Amino acid sequence: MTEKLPDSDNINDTWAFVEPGLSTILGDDLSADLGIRMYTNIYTAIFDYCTTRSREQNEAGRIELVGGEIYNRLRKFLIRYVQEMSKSSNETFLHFYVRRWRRFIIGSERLADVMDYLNRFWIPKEKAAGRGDIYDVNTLCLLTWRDYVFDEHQEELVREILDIIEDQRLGKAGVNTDIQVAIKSFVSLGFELSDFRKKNLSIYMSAFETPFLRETENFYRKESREFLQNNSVVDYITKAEARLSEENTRITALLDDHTKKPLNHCLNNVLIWSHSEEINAQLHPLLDQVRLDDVKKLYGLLSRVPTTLEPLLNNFEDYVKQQGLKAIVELKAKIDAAEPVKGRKPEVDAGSYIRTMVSVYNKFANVVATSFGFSDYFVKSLDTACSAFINVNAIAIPNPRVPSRTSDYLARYADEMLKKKNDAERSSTMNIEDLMTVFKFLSDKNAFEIRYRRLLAKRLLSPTTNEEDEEEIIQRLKDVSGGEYTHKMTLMFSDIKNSKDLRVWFYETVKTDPIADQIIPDFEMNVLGQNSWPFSQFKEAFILPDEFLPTVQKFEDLYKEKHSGRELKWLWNLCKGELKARLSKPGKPPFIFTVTLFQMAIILRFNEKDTLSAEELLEATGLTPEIFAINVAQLIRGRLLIQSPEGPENISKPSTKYTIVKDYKNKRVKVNFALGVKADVKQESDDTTKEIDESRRWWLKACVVRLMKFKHKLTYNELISEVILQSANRVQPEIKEIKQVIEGLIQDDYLGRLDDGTTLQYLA
Amino acid sequence: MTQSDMKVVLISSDDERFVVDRKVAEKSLMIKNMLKHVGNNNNDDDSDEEEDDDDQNSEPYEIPISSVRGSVMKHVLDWCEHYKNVDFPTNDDGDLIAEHPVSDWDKEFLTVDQEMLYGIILAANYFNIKPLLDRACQQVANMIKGKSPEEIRKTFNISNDFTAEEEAAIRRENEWAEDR
Repeated sequence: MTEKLPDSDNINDTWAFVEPGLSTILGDDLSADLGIRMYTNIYTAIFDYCTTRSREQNEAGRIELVGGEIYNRLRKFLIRYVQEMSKSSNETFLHFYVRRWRRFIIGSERLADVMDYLNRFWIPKEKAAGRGDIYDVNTLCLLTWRDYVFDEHQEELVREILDIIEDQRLGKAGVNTDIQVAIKSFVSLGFELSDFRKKNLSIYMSAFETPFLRETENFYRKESREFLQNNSVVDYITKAEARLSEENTRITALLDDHTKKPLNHCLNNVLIWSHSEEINAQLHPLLDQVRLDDVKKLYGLLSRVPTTLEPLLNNFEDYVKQQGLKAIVELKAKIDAAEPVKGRKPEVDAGSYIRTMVSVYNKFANVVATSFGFSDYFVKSLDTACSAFINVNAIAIPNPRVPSRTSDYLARYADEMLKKKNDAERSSTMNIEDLMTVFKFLSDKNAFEIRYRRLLAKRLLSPTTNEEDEEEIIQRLKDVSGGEYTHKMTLMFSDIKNSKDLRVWFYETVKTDPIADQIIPDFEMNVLGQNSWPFSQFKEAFILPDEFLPTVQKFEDLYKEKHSGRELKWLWNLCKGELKARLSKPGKPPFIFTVTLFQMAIILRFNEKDTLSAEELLEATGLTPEIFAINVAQLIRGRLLIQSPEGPENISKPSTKYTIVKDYKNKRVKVNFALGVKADVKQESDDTTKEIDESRRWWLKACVVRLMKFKHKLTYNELISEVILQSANRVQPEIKEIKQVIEGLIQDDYLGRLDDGTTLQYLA
Repeated sequence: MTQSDMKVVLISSDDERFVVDRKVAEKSLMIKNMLKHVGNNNNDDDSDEEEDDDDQNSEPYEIPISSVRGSVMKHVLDWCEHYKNVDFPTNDDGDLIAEHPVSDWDKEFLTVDQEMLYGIILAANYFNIKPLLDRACQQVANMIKGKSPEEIRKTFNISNDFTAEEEAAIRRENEWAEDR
């Protein structure tokens, strides 16, 4: 039943028996089937040869495993086999290579199994003995292929593959599975020298990847240059994205993953980095045209190459800053061009100024969200740009060398907003969100605090303010700048609240007092802490009308009893009151006059006489002629007093006579004479500036001490830059100022200068 | 018909036919590899393997094993049948990863005359059934263990071809290994 097996003792017989089947196993042109008989015959012939011969002793009397003869013949056979493979005449080399390779790798596995006995015994033994040139059968097949097929035709093969890839890029060729198989074969042919069972990418990289990357770069360098010559940058961006995704699809389909990184590096370099300037230059035009989707594409492309983003960020920052400055210049121009009202040139109103800045911010916050995907870097860029134009612009700094007025405008904005009674009217034009937006960017927050607190003080003392909003603002300022920042304002709120309780307590206490009937029933005193409230002491002379004396005296006594050691100082200049004036026609309700305390002191004197001289009034009230003049002026303008002789120059002249108008006429029952009594505006603004300067100096001083206490030693320059860093968003110090503060602290022995002249040391 | 309940016919050198489940026959790596390859078309393309399998399935494979006698083949196939559901995992070098202890069944199985034992070893080697080969060789090693050279010669029917001088020299060289 079986063919006669060869003489197991004879290598020539055995090989002659085996060899014809090997071509069938590896694949020959006869396409004969590998049958069970052929397989068992070859397997058995090799087994028999190896076992029979191995049982014999050699000359040295030792038993040796045999196989070398078979191995050598196999090796020669394989070389001849691959060399004799021939290409059909109408076939590309690539197709031939792939066709044979596919069959060959199946064949070499089969061959390895048929020659299993060699693989199991003789080959491992030789390898263990240090024969580095002996390989297992499968590896031997692959190495033969590598050395006699691949090496000899490498150039032709890779050229054909690269040409097809180029055709694919040009749209001239479609999917080609041959290249995929060929490229995979390069990976199969790379062997780890230390262990031939492991593959590496050495062949793949040197034979294919390197030229592939080189040609890719050349192709896209040329294509991108030409495309940009004939198309818009926006079209280029779309094109580049398409190319990038196309190439990445190719990687997944054809190439080894290893190529992903270098290929993308190459593409990013040639498609993006080398054109990044042109791409970047499109940002401003695109923003001008509000083409946010295109900006998004632009950002998408550039963000593949992080180094190109920095110019883009700067570009964006510049743009926002320009737009902010431009909007404010336009606002200023509009206001400057407006017609004067009542002979006065219109001034910038806080509302328009803040709204203009906020609208620029909102516009670009939307760009950051829509086009830049809320990227942290762009948020930061936007913030930097906004800080720049919000603090320094044509309105904030109309002439150089003055501190930015934005904090002033913002404080006034808040004041106007909070004073508006109608919620709907307010929210449409002014709101807390906008206030906080600008506040965030304010560089001299300390100045804002002082200005805001001054206005807050006035609001708290008038009943019109909206407590809920006031508190919300304080809370939000606290959220941004910390509790220390809002500390004084918080104290002001509690002073107002405590004063309410105090009044309740006061009236409760005096109820049973013997002089209860002399106490004015609705005397609204507030006790305000001197450190938190922005009021300076009233140092001028004033004689309190007798009507007030019992109440004031009683309050002082009771307060001192309750809080010994505290001192009360009266701010008469801030006091207001209401007078019921029976000057109306009979049967009509009396007028109610809102007046300053000083006006009250003056009017009360007319209870005794209808006409009084300035001299008499000045003596009775103890007021200075200046304060007297300001207060009386409103009474004259309101036609309550008749001055004789008339004229502002005569107001405080001792001989000037004042007569009360007995048949006072006014359409309204309530008349406010206090409104026109403006405190000295210039004085107040000087005070504010002084307070801001002082507060800045204190801040710097505290900052220097804190830093030196912590670091002990710093050079002069290090200290200055640290101070500037820490002062950001709170004060805007000039270097000169910091130096003055440091010198002051050296004189006061807080700091010492070391011998090197540049290092400062903290002295406890 | 699935691969697992396919039958395979093994024909021994003395023309005895053994019809076994493919799964049992595939305890032999040699058979397993062969069945993997034959039946696949030799054409250049990856042809439809299933189609070919169907053709072959209609007739069980007949595999001539000229190196193994029927009596030994029966024994070896008994072993394969017994272990048909046991996996013996191997490492990259083809060595068994876990040493399976020789079970009582194996001991009983290998308690055969020497000729049969050698037959089993040769067949296991031919078929490439590593666990069986290891166990059978272990059995031979056990026959040597603890025996004097004379006893070993007797057991394996080996004639002593050393001269007295040679033997004395070898004993001196290996004195260190002797039990004392």
